[in-house]
Amino acid sequence: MPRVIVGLIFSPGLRSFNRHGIIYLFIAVFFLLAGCRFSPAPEPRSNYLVVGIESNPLQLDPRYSTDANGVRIGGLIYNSLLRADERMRLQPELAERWTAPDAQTYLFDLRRDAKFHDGKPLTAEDVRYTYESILDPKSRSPKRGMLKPLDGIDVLGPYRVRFRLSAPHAPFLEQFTIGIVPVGSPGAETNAMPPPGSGPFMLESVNSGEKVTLKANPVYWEGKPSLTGLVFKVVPDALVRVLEFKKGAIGFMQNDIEPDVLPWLERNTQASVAAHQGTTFQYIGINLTHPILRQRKVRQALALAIDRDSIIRYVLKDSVTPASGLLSPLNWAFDESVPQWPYDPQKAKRLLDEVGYPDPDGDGPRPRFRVSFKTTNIDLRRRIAEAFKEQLARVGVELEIRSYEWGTFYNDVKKGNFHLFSLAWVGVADPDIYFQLFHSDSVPPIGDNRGHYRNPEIDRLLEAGRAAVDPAQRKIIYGRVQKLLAEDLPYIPLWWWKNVVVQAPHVRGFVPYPDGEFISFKKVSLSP
Amino acid sequence: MESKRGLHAGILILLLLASSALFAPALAPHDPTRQNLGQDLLTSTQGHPLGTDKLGRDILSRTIYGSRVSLLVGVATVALSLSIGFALGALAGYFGGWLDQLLMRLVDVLLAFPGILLAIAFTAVLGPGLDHVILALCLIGWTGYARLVRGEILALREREFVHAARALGCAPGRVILCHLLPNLLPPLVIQATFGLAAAIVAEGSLSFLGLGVEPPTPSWGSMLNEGRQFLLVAPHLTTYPGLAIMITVIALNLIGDALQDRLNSGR
Repeated sequence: MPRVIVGLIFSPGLRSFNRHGIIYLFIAVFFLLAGCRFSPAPEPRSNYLVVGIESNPLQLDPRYSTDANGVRIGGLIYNSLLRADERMRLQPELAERWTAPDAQTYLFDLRRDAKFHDGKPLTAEDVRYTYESILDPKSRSPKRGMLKPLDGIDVLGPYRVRFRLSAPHAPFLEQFTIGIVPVGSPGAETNAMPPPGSGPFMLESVNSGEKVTLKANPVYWEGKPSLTGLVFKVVPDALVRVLEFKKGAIGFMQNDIEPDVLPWLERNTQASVAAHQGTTFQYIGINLTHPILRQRKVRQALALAIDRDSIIRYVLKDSVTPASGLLSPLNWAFDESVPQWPYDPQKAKRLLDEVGYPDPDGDGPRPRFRVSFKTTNIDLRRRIAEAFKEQLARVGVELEIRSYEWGTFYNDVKKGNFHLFSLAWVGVADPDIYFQLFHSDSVPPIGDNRGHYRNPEIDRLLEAGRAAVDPAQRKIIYGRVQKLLAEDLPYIPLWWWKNVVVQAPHVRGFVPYPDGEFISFKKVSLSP
Repeated sequence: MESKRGLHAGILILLLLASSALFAPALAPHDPTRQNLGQDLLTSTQGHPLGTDKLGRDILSRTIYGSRVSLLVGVATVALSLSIGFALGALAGYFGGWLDQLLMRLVDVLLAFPGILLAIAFTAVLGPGLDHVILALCLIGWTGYARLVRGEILALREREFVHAARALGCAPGRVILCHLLPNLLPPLVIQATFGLAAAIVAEGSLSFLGLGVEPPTPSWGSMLNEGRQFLLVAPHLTTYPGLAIMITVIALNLIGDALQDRLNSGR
């Protein structure tokens, strides 16, 4: 390879470079500059808002979409029976009224003015088709498992539908936020364009890996959106996204921006920058089959040795808030009495001494023990990992940082091939998510109990929380779960990310949602 | 005269660089991995002449220690590539026939891949780390040496002194090592000088992509990568490691150019 690289520059030798080099150099530089010149800012289409996003939405069809941008953009195209509002409370959307006659039955009366983008009215048959197509094993929908408690769907009239569950299952309410597609919509395996929805925006075009364009639905039942359309432009690099914003090629960005760059943006672009409490939960996952990490006091010592406040203040510039657990203060089941682990390296050292891991040489280089810490190779994640490494070294624990590209990293985490890792849970809504993460039956591939945590008391509480219907009773159960987990530490809670919204001064009316939803674009307007 | 001056300048820079790598603990004013979160993104100050990075680490110390990684990768890659390339190139050139065909087609196949892409794929599969970077760079690096050695041996093997050595009963290994290798040294040294520069740049590229050494070990490429997101607010994070790479590569190229001029004029 060295020969190849050097050959490109020097071949066929310095003598010929001297003879003809200048001419070649001029030609090369001319074409190089022609290719590298800054592309002019694209002429913004009239009344279209360009939104910079970091990754291409993988799926827009609500029966299949699970990636953040797919779900968020899909939320603008499709309506659902219920939808969470900006305070995470479920509100009727396509449902005009809804009741639960008993713990296993939900009855919905649909709006009569909702129409799909192709002009057909949205009826109870479409609702039934959507859910049945997810349940069809041939569809291979990733949401099929979540509909397991569903026993059947009855169409009681053109605008009336009933859902029957096989047993009381309070978290099932969340499943009524799945977008509705028309009867006969093909599955994702056909590679067809996503089916029409009934939401405030309709799909205009998809340029995979480049942009997704939506246009306003002129007959939307809530009224036509003020924007003519939205362009979701895929710009993976945060720095490039910021430069595009400065150039005016992007008018709106949310999250994944280097915190230190935000003041620069405000100074140099007249951008409006605001951070709002979010629900995305960052944590350190622990492999509880590891002979050292399976000891609770060791996990507690690690939690005490991490100086979260310094990292939050200096590395993350207060773009997060310290977390006590998975549920954020915005969640109805959040228990504010759950304690957080303060930074206390002395206590951490004492705990490690107690469990039989004394520091072999005091402040010397030899550690009490070594563990690996896996993370993605995203700059900010590696930087945080380096801060952890330094802080744990102060209590005599050596952290070996292993950073991988996302696919390799996630594969290792799913397989349980780790000691410690850091990840985030996005879109945490119903506390039943604890079942998926910490019930002893939820070890992969069935659930996401990747650290193999087992606690009979937690199992019992999670089963009770799932079967209980009364929200007050559930809140008590999940309060107990939060306290037990804060003590047991199968995860070390780090922080909840704030949603950072950067918008150009002419963008008006965006309302941030805790889970980063884009639905309020239906009320956004651009001032002249 | 001009090439002589270049040679001297190149050697001087390289010596300085090697000394800074060798005596890094004595020269660096701070521990390159020591963090001070409250002192982040400082520009030049009394305690930190080149400023600090996002975790409050001293950029001068990290740049000095970074030379260790760059030189180690460069030297190890060239040594390994040269050894493999020499062995296979000599076999192909000396024996010819099907062995030559086989080895040269293998070289053709490897050269058909863009080198840096193959290295990225290799380190992405094996994971980051200094040893993986060196292996990845050697994967194609040896092919250039193999071609050079084969070409030179093809020209030399019919010369009288080679025939004489064979007539005296020298084994092929002895002919290659004792009679052909001394004649191959000048072009190999020139190739190795350019190879060293290219390996340093390639290590910088891999580290820049997050596929090089694991943090917090400083390397110039990883420093560039870490500073990239702060180009707008703290450009000095990328300026100094970038300059270090540039100066090193220029020094190596000056040496290579001067040696090539001498060899060509000698012929």
